[in-house]
Amino acid sequence: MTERISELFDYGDEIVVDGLESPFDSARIKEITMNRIHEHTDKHSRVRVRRISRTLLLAAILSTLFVTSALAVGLSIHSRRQAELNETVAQGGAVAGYTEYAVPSENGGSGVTLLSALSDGAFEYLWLNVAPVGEDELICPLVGVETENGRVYRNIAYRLKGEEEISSSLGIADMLRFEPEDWVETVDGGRTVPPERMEQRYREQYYDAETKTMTVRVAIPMRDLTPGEPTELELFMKTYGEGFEQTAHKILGTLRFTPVAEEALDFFFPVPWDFENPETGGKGQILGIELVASGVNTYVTHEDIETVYTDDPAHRNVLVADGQTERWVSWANAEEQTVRENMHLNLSDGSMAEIGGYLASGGREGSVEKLLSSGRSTLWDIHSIVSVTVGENTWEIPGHN
Amino acid sequence: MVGLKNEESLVARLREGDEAALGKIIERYTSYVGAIVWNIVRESLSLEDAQELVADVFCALWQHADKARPEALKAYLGSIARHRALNALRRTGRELPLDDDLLAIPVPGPEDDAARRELYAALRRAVEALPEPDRGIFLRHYYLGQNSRVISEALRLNQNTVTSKLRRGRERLRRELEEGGYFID
Repeated sequence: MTERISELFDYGDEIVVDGLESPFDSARIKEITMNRIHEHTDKHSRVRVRRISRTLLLAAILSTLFVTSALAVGLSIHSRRQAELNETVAQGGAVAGYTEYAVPSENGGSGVTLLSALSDGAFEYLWLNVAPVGEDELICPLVGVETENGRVYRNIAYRLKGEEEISSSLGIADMLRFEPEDWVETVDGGRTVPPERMEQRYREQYYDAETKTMTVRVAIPMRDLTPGEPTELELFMKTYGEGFEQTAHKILGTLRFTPVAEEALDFFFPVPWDFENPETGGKGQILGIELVASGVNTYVTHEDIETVYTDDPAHRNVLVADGQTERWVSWANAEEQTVRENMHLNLSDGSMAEIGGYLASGGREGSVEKLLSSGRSTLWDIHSIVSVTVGENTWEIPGHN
Repeated sequence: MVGLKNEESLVARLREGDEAALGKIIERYTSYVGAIVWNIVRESLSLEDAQELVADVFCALWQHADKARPEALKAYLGSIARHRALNALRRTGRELPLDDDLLAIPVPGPEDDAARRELYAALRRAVEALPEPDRGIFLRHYYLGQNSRVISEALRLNQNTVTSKLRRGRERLRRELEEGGYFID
């Protein structure tokens, strides 16, 4: 086996190195620390208030046939949806970095309302309310809506201020929550949810017929944004027919917001995991993981890394080189398989979580490739991950135990 | 030197959510935590970013106060500080590989914490047996991740001198491990 001298220092007592400079003022450190702690506490206090208000709202609906904004204890569709997202997506506020924005307290009006945001380092996710959206205009990413003219697909597109190009937001259906009866078996023995059932869940979970408001999630690559720097987006709804030909283009509104930064944690394994690409016979190593609120990314190196990528200074991540797509795919598959078969995460509640299911490669930095995961359907608190199991080894994540 | 009783009281109060205890710990250990963080990231991050990292360490202590042991509070803080700083460095893509960081020790069976603690004990014996400035150089490189150029500037030594003293430190470690019954490749 091999050990790293640098990693052995994890197993011992305090280390004192003479002559080290420490330019920090303890009073200022205390101020920053206390502000952060109080900010975290305040956020949870607000969450508790919202939950109570939601309970009152549901009681009000049950006790009357007609619900108006006046009867809904002063809660707008925006506040209600924020509370739901906080509970379902943000795990009751446990997900660090999940940020809620001030929303109108009344219904009505049209356009786009920003509910919340989260960054995982690769994308900035924005949860938005869009209105008015007709009942026959639902925005259901990837699955579309059944009409008498066949299936119609709608997606959100955006244009950053100063840009000419309109970009389509990444379409992922992972906002949906399914019931056991939603799943059906496929011919190859797997499971899936039929499009019509997904459409039904979108309608139930993210569409409010009374206010004609649809809740959507937009994903913008972080390379196009700067955390902390206010930016402006124009938002559009694009409609496509069954043949994916664009049939309509609607302006939804303009959004001004300040992107949030990601909370991420890197953990490099004391001993890298060796693997082989079965298609090429080439050798690689899984070096470690990056924990983000939306999933787990993996750090990898392999012998073809210089070949399959090309540097482009205009892009934050490097690109796959011409003619190397097949080779790149073979490595991505080999990496995904070896991680899925040999590694998992251990959480503080005793449960385990898989690492795997890759959406795309994140790109290369030096000789290390970061492979993005496909993300989780719910966000998680990365501090709840206490250790990672790699083969027969389990390594604790420092500071999480 | 901080008495254990004092630390016991602070940690107990910290676990109860006493912010004044956290404040006391910050006053006491900012210099130590700051030294570790700054000497890992100073070549790559601004002072403001490093300051945020130092605050991160104390926030982590606050969130995981149940994991802190009074007799090892300083070591715990040092461990969090080192990992947060190294992670931040890796995210900048500017972490440099360490010279000869790997020890090839062919032993059978799965690795476990006990085995690694024994290895660490051997490492500490080797490090403590080094005279200064060799000890400081070894720790700056393997504990703080500083390269020979940074170390030579900090200690006002010739860079070749730093490199040869690092080599001596590794030889010392190798001897210590062999005397402890480890076979080194």
